[in-house]
Amino acid sequence: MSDRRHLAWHALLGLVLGFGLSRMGLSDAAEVRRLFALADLRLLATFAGAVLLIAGGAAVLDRARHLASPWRHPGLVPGSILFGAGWAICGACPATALVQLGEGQLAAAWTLAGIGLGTWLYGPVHRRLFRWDAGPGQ
Amino acid sequence: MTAQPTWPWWLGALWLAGVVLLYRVAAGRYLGVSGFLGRLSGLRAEMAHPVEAAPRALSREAAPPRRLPWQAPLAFLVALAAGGLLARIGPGGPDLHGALGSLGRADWRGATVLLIGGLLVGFGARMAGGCTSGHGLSGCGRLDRGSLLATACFFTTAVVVDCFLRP
Repeated sequence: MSDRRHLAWHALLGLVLGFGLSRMGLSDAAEVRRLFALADLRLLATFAGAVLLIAGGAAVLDRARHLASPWRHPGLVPGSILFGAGWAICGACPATALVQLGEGQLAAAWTLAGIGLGTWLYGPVHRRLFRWDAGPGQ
Repeated sequence: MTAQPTWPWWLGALWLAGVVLLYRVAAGRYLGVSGFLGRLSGLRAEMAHPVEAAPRALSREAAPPRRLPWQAPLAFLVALAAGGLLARIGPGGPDLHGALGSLGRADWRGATVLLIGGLLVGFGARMAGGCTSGHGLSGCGRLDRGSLLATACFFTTAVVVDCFLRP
């Protein structure tokens, strides 16, 4: 696929995803906190339902999948813990923080600044402290 | 702040799955927003590798998908925000004056909390090699054991941390 078509598809799917994330309430920090408080499981059902549907689709689309061992590296669990903590603290993940910004929740700019900084910071920290084999890059 | 009624769970599920699978067909790889951010921040090959780009399941030859031009992830991220704006148009549309004011009022405590939360999200996602879309949707959808573990970890952690944050 040409670069231009990649660009078009990325723009379209980003728009569609952003729209949906907003309408389904994932960009609403209050709703997300209700999920974490286990007070309202609608978003969990949304997520689980999506995963099941994707699994069905992936099984068809990736028919020739290998049974290679899945990708495990030392950063997986600690990274996920840090991510989960941050998610609970700011009520957003990278995608929903962008959606929040588009919705007019301009305070999300702080969240995004943090996400950008954290994303960047990982580079030097990994090089200096971790240096584990995280597998081939993109 | 959401003024519109939220979608039932099944509509959200269909929508998310539809986007992920359509992306898979269009781009030849799986979706992962933290991977897009990592790409734009210029992370190099030795960094934690986003799970969604793992080539193993894509073809018998397992050829890695052709590297996306950097403008594509950028377009996706910008479009996410545009999607949010689109969703707010109409009844309950964006109250931009109020929102601008909220940033200008500079509640420093609130801003610091968001900054710290965001820092953990950004750093943690890179360290884990994915986020809610990369590990949560794409990785779990592919039944990747690492992603299933990552997803279980971040949901559990979020629930636990939330306990301490609630008054």
